[in-house]
Amino acid sequence: MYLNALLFALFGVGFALVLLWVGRKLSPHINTEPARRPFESGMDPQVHAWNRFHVRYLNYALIFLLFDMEMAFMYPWAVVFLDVGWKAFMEMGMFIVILVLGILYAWREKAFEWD
Amino acid sequence: MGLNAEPLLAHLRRFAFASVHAFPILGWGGAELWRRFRKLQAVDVSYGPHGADLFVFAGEIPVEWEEHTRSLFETVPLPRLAIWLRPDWRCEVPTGIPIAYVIESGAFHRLNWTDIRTRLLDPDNGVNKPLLADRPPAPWRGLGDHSQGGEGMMGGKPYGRPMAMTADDIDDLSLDDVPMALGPHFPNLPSGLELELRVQGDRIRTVEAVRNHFPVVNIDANGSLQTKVGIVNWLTLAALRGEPVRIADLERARVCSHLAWMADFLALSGRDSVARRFRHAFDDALVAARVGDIAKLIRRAEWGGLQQQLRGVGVTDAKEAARLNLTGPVARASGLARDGRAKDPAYQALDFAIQTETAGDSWARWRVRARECVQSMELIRRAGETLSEAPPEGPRGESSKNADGLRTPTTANLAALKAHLFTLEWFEALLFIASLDLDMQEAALR
Repeated sequence: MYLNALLFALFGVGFALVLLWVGRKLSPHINTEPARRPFESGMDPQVHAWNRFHVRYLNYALIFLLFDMEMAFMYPWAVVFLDVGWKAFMEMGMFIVILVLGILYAWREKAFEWD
Repeated sequence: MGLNAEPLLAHLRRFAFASVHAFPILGWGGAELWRRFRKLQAVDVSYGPHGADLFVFAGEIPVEWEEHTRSLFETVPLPRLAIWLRPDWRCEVPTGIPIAYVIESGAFHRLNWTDIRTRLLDPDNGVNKPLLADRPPAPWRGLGDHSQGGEGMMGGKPYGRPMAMTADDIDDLSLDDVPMALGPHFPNLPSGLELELRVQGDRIRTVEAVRNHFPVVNIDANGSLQTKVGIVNWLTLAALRGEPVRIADLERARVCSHLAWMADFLALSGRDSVARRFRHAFDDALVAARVGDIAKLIRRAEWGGLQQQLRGVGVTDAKEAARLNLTGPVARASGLARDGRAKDPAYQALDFAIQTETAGDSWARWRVRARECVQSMELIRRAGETLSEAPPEGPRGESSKNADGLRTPTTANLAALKAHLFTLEWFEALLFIASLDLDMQEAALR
């Protein structure tokens, strides 16, 4: 029942392989060590190109945490706000003040600047 | 198969290129030749040898460059060809790579591109084969427990190169500290300038060394030097010897130099189409160029966020500019009213006023040069045949002779480079280096 699909897949993969083979056969190329050397704008690179790059996601994490925690707390708070009254308002106020300190810290760490 | 496919393939290969990509190596006088060659629009520029078809030597190539240009050429994929744009003085053919074509500086318009393409695609052209021995930079295969080329995780040398070690960055994080050389053949930066840097991610940690790959040339010993360093320096050198120079010639050289700098700078900042307009708007002698045209072109270039991009990049304030003894537009952009022309009675008679900015960043340097272009066009019109007797201010600044020899604007402004490059991010660093308008040929003069 699935023979057609199998044939179709085989033909697809086979055709791609044939194209790759033809390209390899016809195109002139060299694949020696000096030909694979990376270009470092002139001189010979001293170290291997594998090196770890720090993307500095911690700033994004900081902002995400600040605003996400705020929302996570605010939904249940909004449900009981009318019942609890002023006490709930004060509690949320304190919570927001603490979060704002975090936002100020993120601001100082230049988390809001796009590079 | 009895069919001979070779003629058909040879025919098909001609269609392989929509356009030829060229990677330049600029020697003495090479920047000028390359600029003229690009104007033909017959080639596209490749910013690395891996994307190139033509390897273009322009100008007189110092023999010291033989080894590293050969290993650069080896990374150009097949089919490939090396050509040489010969300067108009007598000099040696670049060594190390078989040169297929020598193009005389006056013969750019008579080039036979069909022939060049045919030679490029010819399997027997002498360079369409490996030129260097197939050896890794250091032996590594089979060494170590996992064949990584050494002991331990960081001790390996995969593919013959060691891994970068770590160092603390500005946030006290231990990150890979990668030694890398910027230049001497990065097409967007001055040819011959090599910076030995340590980078962490895209941030420069330290500048270990600044090197000039042009060998030192003594200006008194060499008779052929006048042409070798191009018209700009030639005028400066003539004035240093005390010969009077026509103000119109000096100012024309300044506008040409500034416009060429602007074109390269715009290309670097990602504005290729405007850069092309700068290259093609005027010929080298500025014949038929009008003040209005140049001002319009500059305004066009400043659209689209150039100011936002350049503001605050590589700031040098007035105090520091004075301490580092900077010169030319770089000093004037920091608010120092330093201009050799202001002291010259001939210029004073033409109502010359020094153009300054105060911010000292890359945008200020752009603005100073932009305003000087317009001012110089006015001066050319007003000056007529007036001669200047004082040692003049060149497009890059003032040259002077002292005990050590010659102090050129590039030698002076290289100090700003050393002082400000570290902690910059990669692209800012490139913009900053370009904004100083360095010419390493000039820095090689003694």
